[in-house]
Amino acid sequence: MNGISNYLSQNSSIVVDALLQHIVLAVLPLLIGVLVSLPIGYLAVRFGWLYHPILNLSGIVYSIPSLAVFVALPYVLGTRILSPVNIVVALAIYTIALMARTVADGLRSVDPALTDAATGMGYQRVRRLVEVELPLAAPVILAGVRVAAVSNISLVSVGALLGVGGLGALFTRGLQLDYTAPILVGVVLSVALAAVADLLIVLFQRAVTPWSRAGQGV
Amino acid sequence: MITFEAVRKQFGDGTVAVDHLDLELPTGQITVFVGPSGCGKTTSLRMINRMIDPSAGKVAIDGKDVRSQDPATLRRGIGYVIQSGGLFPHKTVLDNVLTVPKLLGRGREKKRALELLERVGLPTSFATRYPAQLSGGQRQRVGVARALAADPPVMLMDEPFSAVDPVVRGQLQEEFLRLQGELGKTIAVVTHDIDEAITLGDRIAVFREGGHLAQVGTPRELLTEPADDFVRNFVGRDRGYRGLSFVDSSGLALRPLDGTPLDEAGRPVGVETFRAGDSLRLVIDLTLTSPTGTAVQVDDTGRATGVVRHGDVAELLEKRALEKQR
Repeated sequence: MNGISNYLSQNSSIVVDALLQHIVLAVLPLLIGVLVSLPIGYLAVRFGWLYHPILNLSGIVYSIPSLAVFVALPYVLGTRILSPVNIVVALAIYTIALMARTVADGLRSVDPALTDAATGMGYQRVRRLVEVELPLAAPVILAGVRVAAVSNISLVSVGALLGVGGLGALFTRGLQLDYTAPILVGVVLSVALAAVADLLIVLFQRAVTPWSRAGQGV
Repeated sequence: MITFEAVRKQFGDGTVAVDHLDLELPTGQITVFVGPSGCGKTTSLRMINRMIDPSAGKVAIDGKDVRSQDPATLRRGIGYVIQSGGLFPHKTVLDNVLTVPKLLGRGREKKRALELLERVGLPTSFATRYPAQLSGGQRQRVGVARALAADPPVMLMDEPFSAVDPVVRGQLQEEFLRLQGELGKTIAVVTHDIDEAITLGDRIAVFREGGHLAQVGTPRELLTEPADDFVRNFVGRDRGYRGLSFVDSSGLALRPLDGTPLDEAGRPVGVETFRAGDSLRLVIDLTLTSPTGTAVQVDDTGRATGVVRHGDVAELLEKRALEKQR
């Protein structure tokens, strides 16, 4: 314990930088991935024949080991091997692989009688999607976002093997120096970050779907 | 008036849902589409607001072909009620009612929406509730208020009262008829329930399999003069008795009141009563359920004026049948 507090007092700025970098590297691809998944998931529902190809493709993409993607991307994108862009792009791809299916399933979970009622009252397609289908799919979609967020936070650590920052850098440094304090700090902060992210998404979900708790105890 | 002219609908798989339909739905009246499942009644209803477009023929509202209008614009001018209300679970009761006004850019009509809630028999305090916090019957009422919110001249209702229990259904039907008495909308209702059709309809269109019209007429015409065996079977075996709903009881010879317990004001105590002009069906039902075999008639102030027995009803019917033959 003494070792850890010594380490923290001497390296606080390194640890804070690593934490902030970790957050950016996890959250940025999460946002990009979710935004890209929305149209893909919608297309998979709108054009039924696309659903299974998209499902299969995302399953295959998600099964590619992250380290392989991190290493391969610079060749594909023409970026430097140490560029954080690689991590962001790789994690955005994973997020899309996870979320495209979730968005599609969320939209498919909306009762067809409700979309029919909406159309019958004069909703046009886009407005119906924004005001009826997406809000009703929100619980399913946000459950997927929780998984993607936690998954991204843990995958960022792998990026440290390539020398990109984040909390994973504390692990590699600890291993190189045979010094456990940074490893422990990195693990604890990584887990805490995942827990906080999950909690924030749950709170967000409660705020935007008050109706989903209505009717309990009535 | 809504008109179907030689309307046909054939789906992509070759099924003919509606075949050569000619039908008029008079302005200000309730027309009920009734028939077994697969008879094309819902398809016909959905062709009015272009949820389905006909393969041939024309559907017109007040002479204007619905296909000449943009579907969304057309639909915003037509009230739409579906089974279970079809309320949006993520919107409050008030926001559900304001759906069409908002689509029309008139989302501020909150006061009118609250009035509508009261009009369909719900307290305005329900405005902030979510549909999950309502009973089936209450949801159905909100569904009707929502359809009325933009004050459309035409309303389409697809099995509007099917998802609630018989007692609530009876209440909803009664209140709906009272409301229609005030509003006078042109309404098309789809149901598979012939009793509901007879209760609600000014006119009833009986559909049979393959999308053919078997008969169009008033409830009374359907009960007393079914066009063929299909309608006869569909209307049911006790149509003679149900037909008495449309025969008024004036002309019944009243017997003296002796033995009927009355209060000081002369109102009968502890029995159900009828008034001159009520249907013979009600009178017969009262004589059948009363332990003494009599039905008590009262005047407008509730005072008893006399009683009748089953035999008196039979005599009246016989007399009328003889008059008819002459």
